[in-house]
Amino acid sequence: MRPELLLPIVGASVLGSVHCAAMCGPFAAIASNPNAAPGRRFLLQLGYQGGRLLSYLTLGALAGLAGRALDLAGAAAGIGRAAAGIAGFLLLVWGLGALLETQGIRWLRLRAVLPPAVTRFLASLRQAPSLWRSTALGLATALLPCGWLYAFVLTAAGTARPLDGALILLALWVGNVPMLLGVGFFFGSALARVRRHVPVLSATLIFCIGLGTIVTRTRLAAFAGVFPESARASSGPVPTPADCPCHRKRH
Amino acid sequence: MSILFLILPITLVLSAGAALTFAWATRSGQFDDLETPALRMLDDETTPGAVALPEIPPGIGARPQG
Amino acid sequence: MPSKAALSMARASLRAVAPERAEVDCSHCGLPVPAARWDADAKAQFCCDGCASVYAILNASGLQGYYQKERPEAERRRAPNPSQRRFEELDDAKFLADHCRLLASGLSTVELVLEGIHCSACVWLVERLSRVLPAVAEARFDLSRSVLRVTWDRNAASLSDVARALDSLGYRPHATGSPRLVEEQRRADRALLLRVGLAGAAAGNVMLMALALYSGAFGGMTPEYVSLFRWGSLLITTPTVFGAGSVFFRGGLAALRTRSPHMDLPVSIGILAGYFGSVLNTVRMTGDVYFDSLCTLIFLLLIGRYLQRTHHRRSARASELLSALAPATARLVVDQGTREVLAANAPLGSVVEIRAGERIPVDGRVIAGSSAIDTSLLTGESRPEEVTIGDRVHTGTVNATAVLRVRVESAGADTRLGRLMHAVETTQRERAPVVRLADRVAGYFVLAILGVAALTFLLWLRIDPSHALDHTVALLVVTCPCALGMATPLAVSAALRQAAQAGILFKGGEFIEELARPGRFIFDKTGTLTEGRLELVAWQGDRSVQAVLRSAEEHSNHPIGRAVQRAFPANELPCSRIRELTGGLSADVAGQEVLVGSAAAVAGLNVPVPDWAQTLVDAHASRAQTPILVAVDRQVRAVAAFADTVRADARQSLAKLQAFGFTLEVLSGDHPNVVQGIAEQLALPFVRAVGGVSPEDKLARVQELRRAGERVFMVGDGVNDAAAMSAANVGIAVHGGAEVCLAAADVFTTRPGLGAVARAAEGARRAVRAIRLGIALSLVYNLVGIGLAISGRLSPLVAAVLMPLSSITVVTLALRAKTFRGQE
Repeated sequence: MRPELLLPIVGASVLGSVHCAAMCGPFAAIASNPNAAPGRRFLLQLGYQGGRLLSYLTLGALAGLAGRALDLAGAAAGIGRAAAGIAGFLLLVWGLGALLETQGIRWLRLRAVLPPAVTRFLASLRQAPSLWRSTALGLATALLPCGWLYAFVLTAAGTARPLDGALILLALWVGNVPMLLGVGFFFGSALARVRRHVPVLSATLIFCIGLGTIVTRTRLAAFAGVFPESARASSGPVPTPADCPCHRKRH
Repeated sequence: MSILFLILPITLVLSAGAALTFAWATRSGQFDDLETPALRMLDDETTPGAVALPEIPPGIGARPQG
Repeated sequence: MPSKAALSMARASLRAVAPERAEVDCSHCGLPVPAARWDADAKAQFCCDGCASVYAILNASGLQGYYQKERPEAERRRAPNPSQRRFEELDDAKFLADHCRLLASGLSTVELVLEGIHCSACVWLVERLSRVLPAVAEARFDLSRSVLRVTWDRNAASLSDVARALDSLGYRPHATGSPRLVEEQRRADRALLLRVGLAGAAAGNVMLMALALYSGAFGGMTPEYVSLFRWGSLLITTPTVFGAGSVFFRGGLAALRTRSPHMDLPVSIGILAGYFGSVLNTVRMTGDVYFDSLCTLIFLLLIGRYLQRTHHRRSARASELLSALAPATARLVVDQGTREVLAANAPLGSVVEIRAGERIPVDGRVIAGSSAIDTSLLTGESRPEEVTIGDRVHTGTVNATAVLRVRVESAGADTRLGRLMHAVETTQRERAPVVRLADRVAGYFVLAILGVAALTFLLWLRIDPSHALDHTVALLVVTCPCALGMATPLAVSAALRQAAQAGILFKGGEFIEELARPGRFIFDKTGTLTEGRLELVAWQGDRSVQAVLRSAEEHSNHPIGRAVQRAFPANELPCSRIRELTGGLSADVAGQEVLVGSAAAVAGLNVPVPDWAQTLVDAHASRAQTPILVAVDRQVRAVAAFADTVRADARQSLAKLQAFGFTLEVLSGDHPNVVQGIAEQLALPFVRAVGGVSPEDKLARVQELRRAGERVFMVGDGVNDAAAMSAANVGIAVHGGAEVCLAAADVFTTRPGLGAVARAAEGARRAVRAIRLGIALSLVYNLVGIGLAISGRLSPLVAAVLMPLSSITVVTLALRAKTFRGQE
């Protein structure tokens, strides 16, 4: 994966991190203990961010694997780069739906709720020893039904490679860290004017990422003129049944 | 490498220039207060009417020096 | 999918709730909720499911308090509380001549210390003064000094106008201390900063050339380039050594002349030896040069000095600000009414009016009115004194209850307070400076180094004479106490900073070192060991009259009235016809006639005092508490006792000090019985606990102890302690004390209670331990360097690595030491 493809991801992550800080801020706050010494605070933050990173990377890798499976299945059915296409399409739909929501029209009736057992477990962490608590909170962040995160996971699936998937989630993590470390609070008042537009902004971003995924990754002939590189495999050749390990074993 | 014989003196002159500028800045009090300018950065320079300044009681500043 | 009608109804109802904004914010993250997710029935709105989940988690774990603390934009602005002052004393011609400067443009500038600035919004507001008062051309605020520089047109508005405008905005202005002193300090600070900057520039440039030289040493460099770089370094180093580094030479010379050790001496020796040795080698074109080490050394040491001075300034300014808060004005009674003048200028024989709650500005006799005076700040007496026509009053006491008119008998420096202040100044000036630990080490250090250098020289003269000088110079350069010179100031600065964060302000690092040594702690009682004000300690009788009593004392300034205000919650009972009497007050509360006062006052109004009440009154009096009778409708219903209570943390803190090995003593101006009672209550082994001590006696006692060779630490809060504090080795003023105490003290606490004193002692010990560790470490490095130099293995490269390494180690240790932080 070329690094310049990661940069827009990081950029999008930073832009959207306002909401990340707002929503996961309490977790970051619970994870670190303001009364502890700076050395300890640093360690706790490390646990939290590290836990987050670990869960993100895992998600990304899993998504990439799933995408690869989709690709293989698609290849077997004769469709190339199925994962990128499906992921891109889903992102388009999602982004559009989110945009419409801001205008008052609710068309996708998806309600993702945490199972109460998970909620109870997370609540019980309050009593846990602090390092375990901060790490567990970090790990659990990936479990939260966060649309923003899922958009990136979908993008990761679209890459159809576990490594690239993990890289995309790494880009997301990198974009998040400044805000979650509280650096963003300094700009809080400056961003107050931007706040109003965050829902529209994030919906548009998701839409664009979906569009970008379709255009650059699916290697459809129609887009060959727009993005000549997409004609060349940017992440490896299209897998054929001959590459499939289980198939290979048979032969 | 003999260019060094030219470069080094020029460097010294430039450094001296920088040092003089620093001396001027210090003497004219640029470094006296390093805390308040950081706060001033946070101000929004709005038009005079945009923010309501508090009222001071009448009679202050109205009378001439007596 | 909800119907269109339902949606528009939801939107309409939400708009009804928040009519100005057609927007709803997420209850969790505060960002706008997309219109489609508005739920008219739900209590909380969320922008996404993630926020809803986290909200649920927080609620389940009981952390809802997070939401109260979240919003940083909501700044709670304190409502401005302007005083009724007219600030006319600022228009005094002499004052204006001293404090204002006339500019070429015809405008004048003045500096005013402002109270109440606590955020950037305040700075913004205060700098917009010109929009509020057009005569002001410019207003510029300096946060570190809390000073506003105002440039204004004296013909359009007077200085008192400016002051009143600032006061009405909520920022009370005061005159600064002597402007000439401020100007001198500023000049000195700038000069030091200039040195630091230039030394830094030199160090950087010389290091670049040194890098070239080192590379050349490894890879080979033709002699003319070596010469070029050496001469270039020399050119840069010379002004640095004799310009920026001259502070060290001056210090070293002074140390030699007064034969007292100071760190500057070994530093100067190292610098000079290194410089001249390097110059020699540059001319000779052999041997080693140490220009880079020298410049870096000078730079680092100057930084240490700069930090020290900044911290010193900061704590000095804090006390300056506080001492500027003392209102030094008196209200003179003249034909047309009253006029405010500077208290020191009140003419003898004139009449001054003092309202209830104000501090008495002069010494004199009462000619009209009768009131109760709170003398605790001056004498330590916790019980208010009744005065009436003919009685004497003193500066520094507070007029509690009623307006008084006083004929001036002495003002300014001639008052009892003035004479005490003079005593404070004299004793402060006569103080011997504390010899710092590092400086004591410096003395031995110099001798040792010079000895070793001589030895090295002689040794190498026998072995290899051509290198003897080089090795000696190398020795002197590498043993230059950079780390030693930096470690102590940095450790002290770090300790000062931590102490400030813990609410303990030291006026200088030397007091930290003093506090770590054994000695005797002398405590004042009123306001130090005790809260300093009367509190309700006992109530016998009818409890139902408490509400009535509270209502009657609602507006009282009397110490007992205030104690009642604190003891019971305010109520809505209507109260009228409040009359202050000698020893009490009477009022009509909700139709009942309430009489509050001492037994004598109550009896004096022909209200019978029953036996049970009298017994209680006597019992309280014997315990040195103040008994007050409460009578409703001419019948005594309850007896309330008031006393000055011991602070909650007093026992713990004093026990801690005792555990450190200090001896404890109490000196108080209050009644001996009261002092005995307090000592017994604290149950600690006091060496002495004496009452009835006047401020002059306290001073005498401290001086006597010091002459006997004891180290004295004086803890107090009132004017009656100030002179003793300035005579003690370390004077500690506790929070809430008189301003003059803060000026006389060497340490003052900004948080109430005695815990800070114990903390100061513990922090001081840890700080000294950290300093010792730093010194030990730097000595170790020096030993290594000496070993290398003697064996001839020292090269400029090694020196350039060793010295920063030692500095970094020592500095890191100094900054990371937990002295005042991390105490429980």
